[in-house]
Order: sequence, then C-alpha cells, then structure tokens
Amino acid sequence: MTRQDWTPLRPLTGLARGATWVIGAGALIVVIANLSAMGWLPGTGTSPVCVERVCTTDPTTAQSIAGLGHQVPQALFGLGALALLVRFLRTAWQEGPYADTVPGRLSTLGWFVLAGAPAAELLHAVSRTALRDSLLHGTPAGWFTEWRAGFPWWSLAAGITALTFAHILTIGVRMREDLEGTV
Amino acid sequence: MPPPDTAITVHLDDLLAARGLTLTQLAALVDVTVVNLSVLKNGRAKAIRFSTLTRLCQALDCQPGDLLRYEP
Repeated sequence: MTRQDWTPLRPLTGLARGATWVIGAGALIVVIANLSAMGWLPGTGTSPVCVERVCTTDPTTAQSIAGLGHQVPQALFGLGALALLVRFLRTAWQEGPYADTVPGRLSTLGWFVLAGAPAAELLHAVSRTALRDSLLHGTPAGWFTEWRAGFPWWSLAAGITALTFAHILTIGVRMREDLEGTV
Repeated sequence: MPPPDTAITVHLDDLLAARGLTLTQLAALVDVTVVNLSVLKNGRAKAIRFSTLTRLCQALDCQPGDLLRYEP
C-alpha cells in the first residue's frame, strides 16, 4: 500500500471496532462481578462495600497544596479543552470547514486532549497519594498505581480521532484549493 | 507565469491580441467569468477543464497547443 492509498479511516475504523469489543467485554465482566458481589449468582455471598473518605479540619500548607492539586488540574484541563473546542468550532463556522486554519485548530485540540488528560490525571494521582499518605498510615497504593487505575483511556481515543479528522480536513483544504484554481 | 509546481504557460494574451478581443468579450463568448479567465491569463490557474478548453478553442479558433505551452 503506497502513501497515496493510505487513508486514516482504516486504522480509525479498526480502532473503534476493537474498542467496542473490549468495552463490551469489560462491561460484561463488570456486570458479572457486581452480581457476584451482591450474592445474586449461585455460590456467591454478599461482599462489603467500602469507600475512602477522610477529611482534616486543620490542613498543613502541604496538605492544602495537595488538596488543590487534587481538583484543579482536571478542572483546568476541562476548561482548556472546551476553550480549544470553541476556538475550533468558531473558526470552522466563520471561515468555513475547509479554511486553512481549521485543521491546525483541530490538531491543537487533539494533541491537548491526548496529552493533557493523562497529565491532569497524573497530577491528580500524585496529589491524592500525597494527601492520603499524610492523613492515613499504611496506604495501599503509590501514585503510579493510582494514575494507572484512573488513566483516562477515552482521551487517547478522542485525541487520535481529532488528529485523524484534522488530517482528513487537511486533505479537504488541499482539494478546495485545487478546485478554486480550476477554470 | 506558471504556478510554482508546473511548467505550463498560458498564452491567452497573445491569442486575444491576435483576435482583437478583450477578456470581457471572451468571457461572454465562452461563458466563463472574467475573474476565472483572468486567473487563467495570469498563470494562477491550477487546472483547466476540458469543457472550458473546448469552448476557448472554439471561440479563439485555435488548438490547445496554441493556448498552452510546456516551458521547463
């Protein structure tokens, strides 16, 4: 297959199909695990349900900073992603979907989502671990385990999708330029 | 002047002068806008449709080779 024949839709379709199967299988496992935990399946008993919630009324500076890092990065990421989305949509609306600037805007959004969401989750995990270590003794997991558990896989799919469509739009822009130059 | 990635030059100027036609008159004859003919005349066109070329050749009574030339 030459570079000319390559189309980003093929890997994207394969990726979406694979993701659908994986998510479907995961959902089935989650349902079975929950039914088992509730004792609704034959040979299973009720399991305890736990949730971690610890508060301090007199936080140190480090705890306050960790508390900030626990919430702010994800909020900033959401805000940044929305701002870039609005910028992309506004440009496409005002200048047309095949304007020169549109693929670049979508590409910026794609890279931001692709890198920003894991980075925000990393800060969240580090802050959460630091906060928990300072409040509880014998904490079970480090920041990497936390990060891995809460890794935003959706951002990989969303980022790659945005970059793929930016590539498609770049081809569209070239086609528009060719059409405009045709007499 | 041809576009940077081609070596095809358009000689509409010469043909118009030889036939005593203006760009506006030719535009009316071949049913192409003056803007598009100007793009073609000034060498900024990236492509020309066969239908446009046919009408230009009819109106100017010429061959495609009279209008377009390969100049590497």
